[in-house]
Amino acid sequence: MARRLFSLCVSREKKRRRTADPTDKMAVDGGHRNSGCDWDGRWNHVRKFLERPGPFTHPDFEPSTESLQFLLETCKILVIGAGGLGCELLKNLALSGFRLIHVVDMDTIDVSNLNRQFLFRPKDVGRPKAEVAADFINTRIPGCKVVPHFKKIQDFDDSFYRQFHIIVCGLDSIIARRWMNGMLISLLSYEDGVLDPSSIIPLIDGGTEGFKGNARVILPGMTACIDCTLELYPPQINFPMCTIASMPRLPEHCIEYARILQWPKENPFGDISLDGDNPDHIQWVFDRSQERAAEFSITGVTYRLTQGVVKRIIPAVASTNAVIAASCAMEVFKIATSAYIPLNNYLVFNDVDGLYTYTFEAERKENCSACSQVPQDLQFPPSAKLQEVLEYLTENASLQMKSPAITTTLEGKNKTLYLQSVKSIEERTRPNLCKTLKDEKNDVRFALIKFYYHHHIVSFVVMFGSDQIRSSSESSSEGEMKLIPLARPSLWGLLLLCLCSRAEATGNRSSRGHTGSSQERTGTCEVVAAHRCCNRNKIEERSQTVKCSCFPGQVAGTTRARPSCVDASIVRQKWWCRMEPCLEGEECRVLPDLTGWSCISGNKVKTTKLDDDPGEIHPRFSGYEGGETVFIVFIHGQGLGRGAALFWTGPGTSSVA
Amino acid sequence: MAATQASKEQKYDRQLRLWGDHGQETLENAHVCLVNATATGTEILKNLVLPGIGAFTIVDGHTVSGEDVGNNVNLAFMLQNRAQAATELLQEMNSDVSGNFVEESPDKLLDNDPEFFHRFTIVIGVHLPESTCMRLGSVLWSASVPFLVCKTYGLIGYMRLVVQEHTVIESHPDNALEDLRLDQPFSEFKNHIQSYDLDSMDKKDHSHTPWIIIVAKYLEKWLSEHNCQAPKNYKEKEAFRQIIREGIFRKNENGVPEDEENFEEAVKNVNTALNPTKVPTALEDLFNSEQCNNITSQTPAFWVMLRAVKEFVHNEGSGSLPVRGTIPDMIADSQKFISLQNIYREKAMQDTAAVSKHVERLLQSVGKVCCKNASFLRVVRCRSLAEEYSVDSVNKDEITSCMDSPDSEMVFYLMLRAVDRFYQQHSRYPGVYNYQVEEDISKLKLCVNSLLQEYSLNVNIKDDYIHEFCRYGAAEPHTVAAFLGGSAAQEAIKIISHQFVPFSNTFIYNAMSQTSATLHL
Repeated sequence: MARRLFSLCVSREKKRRRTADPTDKMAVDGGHRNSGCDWDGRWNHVRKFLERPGPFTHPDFEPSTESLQFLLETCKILVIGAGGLGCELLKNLALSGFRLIHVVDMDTIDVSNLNRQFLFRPKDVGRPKAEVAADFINTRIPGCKVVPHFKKIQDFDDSFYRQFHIIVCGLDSIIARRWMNGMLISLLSYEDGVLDPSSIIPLIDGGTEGFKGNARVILPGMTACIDCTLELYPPQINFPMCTIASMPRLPEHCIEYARILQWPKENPFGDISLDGDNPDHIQWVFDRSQERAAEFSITGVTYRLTQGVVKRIIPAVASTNAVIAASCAMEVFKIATSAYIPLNNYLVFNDVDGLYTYTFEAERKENCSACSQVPQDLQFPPSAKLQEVLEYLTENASLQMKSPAITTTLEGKNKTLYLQSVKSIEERTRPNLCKTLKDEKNDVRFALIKFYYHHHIVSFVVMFGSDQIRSSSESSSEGEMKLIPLARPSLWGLLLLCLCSRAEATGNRSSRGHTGSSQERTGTCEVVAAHRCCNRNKIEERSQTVKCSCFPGQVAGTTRARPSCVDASIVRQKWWCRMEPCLEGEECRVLPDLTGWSCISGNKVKTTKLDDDPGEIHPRFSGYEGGETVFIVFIHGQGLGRGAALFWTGPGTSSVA
Repeated sequence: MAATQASKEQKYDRQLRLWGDHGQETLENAHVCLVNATATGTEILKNLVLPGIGAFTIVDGHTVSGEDVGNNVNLAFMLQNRAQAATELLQEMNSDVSGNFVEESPDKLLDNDPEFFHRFTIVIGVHLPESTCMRLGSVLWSASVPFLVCKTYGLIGYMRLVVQEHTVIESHPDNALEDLRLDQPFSEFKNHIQSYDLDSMDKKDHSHTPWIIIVAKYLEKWLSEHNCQAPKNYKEKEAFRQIIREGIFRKNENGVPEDEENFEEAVKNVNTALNPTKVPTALEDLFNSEQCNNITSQTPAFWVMLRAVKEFVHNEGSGSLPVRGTIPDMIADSQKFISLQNIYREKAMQDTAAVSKHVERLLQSVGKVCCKNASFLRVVRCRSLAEEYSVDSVNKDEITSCMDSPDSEMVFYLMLRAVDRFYQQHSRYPGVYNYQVEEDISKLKLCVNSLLQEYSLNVNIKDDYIHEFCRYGAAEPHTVAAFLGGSAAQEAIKIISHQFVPFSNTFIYNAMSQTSATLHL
């Protein structure tokens, strides 16, 4: 499936290549690029992958000397972010043969960037990242034409983004990622509901946090997009206000008190908001936090922690950025050249304990509010207030809308019910939040049906009256609003929610990407071999070998008699029954010596025993005389937490069922 | 001087949050040696120079070629010595780091002055021919200098850590369980529990009692009713949870239970809270190891501390490790939380003092012990290259069992070994020039077969892999070099700082599928 999808994507590359050829010749003839900079041997490391056939290439790959020319002269790449990942990406791309690179970054260089953003020097502090990075690359790597944009991504429209073959993101905010994601989805064109592959611009996204990172390949409209996997991002940690205000326990609570409550009240530097980059401001917060901490005998408030909390600092180091940027650049190269089949589609990296990578296919969400084209039904009780609708839209894990604007159509006119982003409108419309969607007492159902998706505006139609709800196939193609007649036009009637998930500069949700630490989904297990064993004492022995690829923090286990990935702490602590290893109707009992568990129904006892220390051990078998059936469990592989895939042998699905 | 310290703190802020000032200090005292400034080599060094290692020395006898400049951002001009050229550009990247270079091949140095390599904190050898690698490996092994071997070959990255023994006190585990001692409360904790009376509290105090106290209270009750057996299985724990739920505050005798978040927390935490306190098996093994039991004047500090911890377990600890001294955040008012936290903290300090006494006795001088890390102490041991390569001690089991699976990265290890063999025989790598590719396929196949034969490995390597490796023609694509540059640098930092756990002992990265594996060879 993935392979087929991908060839579509490549065909677009080829189409572009053809159309771009004439202009390139002109460019070269006109001396646009310094052709003399390609010294002997310069591209030897790259050419071998472009000019030689190989057994593992993409099926569409044709060895050719033209491919290098395509990279050098035609293929246009956009790098978003010139920070830790961005600096690495620019270097990696430039040394892989890409020359037409644009880079967008709205930030200036800070001293704390210098430990990893290797294109910057102390003398550059305060200058725009994009410009310094572009200068460095263009000077150091002859012939490279990096074009810097010291701007926000939101400052450009679709005509800008449309010019690129591939876009790579090295961002530190989910909001910006979603904005880019939305932009690329808005560029898709559908003919009779079928996606035109030439409208796809592949998005390669990287993220890091400390020693963890991820890299992913997104083919918008074809593979899982940012919004499809929104649940994977760790939620932002916010402390409850009552804890901060009246019962602090941690040093962080004291710092938040100074930041959130004391600063606006005391305005120590006049009427200006707290600036995390201003050392005087941090010092003030630090001093107040220390006072507060002393009052409650809390220890551990330091200047560094204060800074970390106020600026929501994410630890970062050169090595992780290098690894993730390298993986991303590798994928850009694969897609641009068809030399290999690209990553399908998600890589997790962690080198806290050993070195661990895990690749899996993130799945599209059928009703993804960004890329699915499938209208969503959202149900609210008749008594729901607009406030509740708003909360749902902003807090639901799969929507997480930023400042949605809610409008309705009343007697053919658009009317704003609530808009957060403009202060005056917010104040004017705030009373609407307390109103219920409908005041009548009869059994009315509300449903929000998504109508069309357009860049950063997701529209849902809210209707009431159950007979009015149409199936999703009724939704029209993009751009066109089809309003369904109202049951009772005198009421609020048709509610149109325009949810503008525009990235806001104030949004500072601190995540650099999925890092595997808070994954909810379990990994995958596949059966490698099944054994059904002879037996000596009327004890049947069955086992099967299963290979599980689990996320960090998980190991192979058993759930409902099937191999599964379970929380490592369960296995480490031998609370076997917490994995729910037994089938429905069976009772689970941990063996007295904790070496395994039994599943009991009636007089049938199925026992699974594991080695003493399942973490690091070699196959061993223990029988259990009491029951009719014995399963053998082998666990071999690496120690707990070392993270790599574990091999697991345990009760099989087929043999049990 | 103070100003530079402050600016260093700012510059390194993002990493100080990972390994702390003491970790940074070890980095700043480290002297790293890189052999061969290829793209992979300089990328590794770049990722060590940026976080601020003390010094580096590049050993390289090559002259910069057009290919070198093509895939290396740290080389700009051809025809210079490669060590010198790379040193200049890497040095420029961070003025805190002192850079040195030796314009000589490692083989020459090994001939004339093998002790040259003894001075380094770690030696990183990149793209070494097998013979050089083995020679350097044995010099470093006997001098106990950690050796990291790295290679980028086409789309395959290879790393091998060669270190006799690497000890880690701060392994920074991801999912560490709390150390609460609910099953064996120490006396101060017991007294503290006694100071609470849930039944006579008003609503406010009741709903702000830390969950640890709640669990401890109901556990006491449970133990008295269940023959001193704590809830063990799911059923019993469910029953225990129910008892806690019934303890939720009610306005009157038959009233509806109020919302109490601390009780909800208690119910949620029953599972982890009832973890039996016990010395982890891995640590138990370390306690029983030779190094721990035979303390001599040569024993490294780690083992002395470990022995002290062991003594503590067998004496003051009555079978348990020193108390870690931290508790998680939980719903509680400030006073109740802080006093509970102090109970643990003070006990931890007391235990630390006890361990220090043991260290003192062992060393006759006080050693600083991080008792709070006692559960997570780790030792990494690697085999020597000689053991890996010897026909007698090759890890055949690992190789054959991995090769049973069709997608194992082990095949790339074997291919890399075959390529080394090819180099030994032909003094060049297979498929470097286009015209060589076809004929080299059969030559490389001979190398593969002779390798498998020599080690009597009954495994099958598909011709596709042989073809692919000839296609690579020893290319070192920058992206693969950069991946290795990041990961090898981090392993070097782990070795230098003795924080976080290094891989052991062979790592293979496959850029074609973006997969990797750690092998034990």
